[in-house]
Amino acid sequence: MALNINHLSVSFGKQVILDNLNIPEIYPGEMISLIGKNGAGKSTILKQMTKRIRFDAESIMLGDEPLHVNDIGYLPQDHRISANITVLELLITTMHIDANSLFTKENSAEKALSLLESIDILHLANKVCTELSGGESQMAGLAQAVINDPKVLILDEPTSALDMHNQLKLLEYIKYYTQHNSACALMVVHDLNLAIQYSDKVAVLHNGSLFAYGEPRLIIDKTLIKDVFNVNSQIIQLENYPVVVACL
Amino acid sequence: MEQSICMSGSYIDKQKNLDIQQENSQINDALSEHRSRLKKKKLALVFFFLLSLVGLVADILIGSHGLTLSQVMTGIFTPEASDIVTQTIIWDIRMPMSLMAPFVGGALAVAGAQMQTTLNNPLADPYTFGVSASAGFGASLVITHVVSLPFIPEQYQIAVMAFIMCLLTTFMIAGISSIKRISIEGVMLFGVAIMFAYDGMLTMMQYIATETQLQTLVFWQMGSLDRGSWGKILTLAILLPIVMAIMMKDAWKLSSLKVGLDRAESMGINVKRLRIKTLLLVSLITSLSVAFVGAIGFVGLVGPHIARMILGEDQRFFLPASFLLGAVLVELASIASKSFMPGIILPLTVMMSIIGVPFFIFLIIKKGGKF
Repeated sequence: MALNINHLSVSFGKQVILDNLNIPEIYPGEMISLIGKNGAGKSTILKQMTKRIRFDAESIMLGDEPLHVNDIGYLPQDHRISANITVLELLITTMHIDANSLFTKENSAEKALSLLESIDILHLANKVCTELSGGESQMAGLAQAVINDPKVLILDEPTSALDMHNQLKLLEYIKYYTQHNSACALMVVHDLNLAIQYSDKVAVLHNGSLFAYGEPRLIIDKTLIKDVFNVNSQIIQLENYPVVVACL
Repeated sequence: MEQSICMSGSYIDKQKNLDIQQENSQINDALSEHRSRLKKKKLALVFFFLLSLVGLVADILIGSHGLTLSQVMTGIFTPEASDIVTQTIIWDIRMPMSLMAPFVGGALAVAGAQMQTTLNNPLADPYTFGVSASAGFGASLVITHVVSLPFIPEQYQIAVMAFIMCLLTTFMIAGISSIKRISIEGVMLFGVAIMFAYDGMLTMMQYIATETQLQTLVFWQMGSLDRGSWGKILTLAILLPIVMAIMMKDAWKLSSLKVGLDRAESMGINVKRLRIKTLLLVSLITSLSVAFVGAIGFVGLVGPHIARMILGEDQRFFLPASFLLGAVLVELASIASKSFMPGIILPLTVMMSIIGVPFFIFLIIKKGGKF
């Protein structure tokens, strides 16, 4: 099922954050990066998608239905997990969020553990969330976001607390997940080179509107970077990938 | 050559099998660690339950009229075999007092635990949010004859007024926390402001009170289990299981709430509704407890913190553990209040502070202020 974002407007008081935003259809298996300078409205789009109730429900549709929270997996910008529970308990809790019984479903711990194993953080299973490092809690947050097999992954700066190795590990997993579960991923990424490397499409936001949209290697160039970020840059072609080197 | 390829092929297969076996054994290790953690939590709950029973019996046992354990046991289970004095001491004096301790302690600890969870603040409890101060103010209105409630018998006037004030205050806190633009920190500050406001008004009432009224008011505020009665115990015994059952039904959601508000909302939890619903339940059990025995500080703060330290915040265990530990703490305070000076029952709040404050300081030092 494709994801459609149409006529999305958000304003706080008199300040317009998103002005009748339309993003072309996003297909299952696609990874879309939202890029733009601070305050462009990237996180606002993600917040709108994670809302339980939207007043303009039809502005975000999954297939023929308005996007429902049960269809999404969300990794927020604030990666800290403030509950004194283990990572495994966090996943089990997320799996039972709508359950009426206090008893866990059969094999829920096994399912959670094999997910942790596939993200390569099995060693964190019995660690308490409040004692995790920033990077560890971001990886645990990813596991929480995908544990209920969502059709839409929403990731707000998923690589912000991660070292280079874990950045790639996380993005590789998201790529694997979207392709094997016919899910799409929408993520805010600040590192343009990561966005180029891992996104099928890039949505460039500027002043609350869609400035450009398309395959990263086709649309990211010096002019776009200058217009959106007010930064001079060099684009070096490395094999098939453009690499952005920016300077003020 | 072919043979060597074949050999290396089987070597790779073996290596893959070894890797899979290793992964499986790691998963099994993690699973058994998780299961043993769960088992420990269940055992801890059983232990706390037994501890609260022992505390209850010890509390009944201790008093100015020396009774032996066998006399107490006979008096409880086969009262007809005891003499009339022993029967009266056990059933009319000690049991109503001692049974109030686990109910009130449990209720206040659960109230503190849920305020801390829903407001995501380790300092939240009925005391710090001014709920207890509001009860004191309510009592002062009746004691100084400023307010007289119609249709309510004289002996219940203070308790009913204290209950109404508590309920109003927690409703106010629930109402404020439902306003979207007010942050959780804002709600906490509102609670602190309420506490100061009630303290100020209470001081005013103390100032205008006569000497006898002032004495009554001061004693009421100290909190005492001797206000316990079978009627009050029955009320709590019916109400508390209902409230606990409703809270336990939301256990998974409440655990998620503590993980983070954004995440909880994205999981489909109606955060605002859950918070208000829980705070209303909290207001009910707090108001009744405070109205019945007066304000008892620290139990709402310390009980949940010990539970959190030992069992973590999986609400399926955290909630009952908070209840049982609250019960044990107030039982201990009750025992201590009768033991320090023979023949005299010291105020419960004093004993609770003597037990609670050193423990709380220990917690702060041990955890560096992070909860």
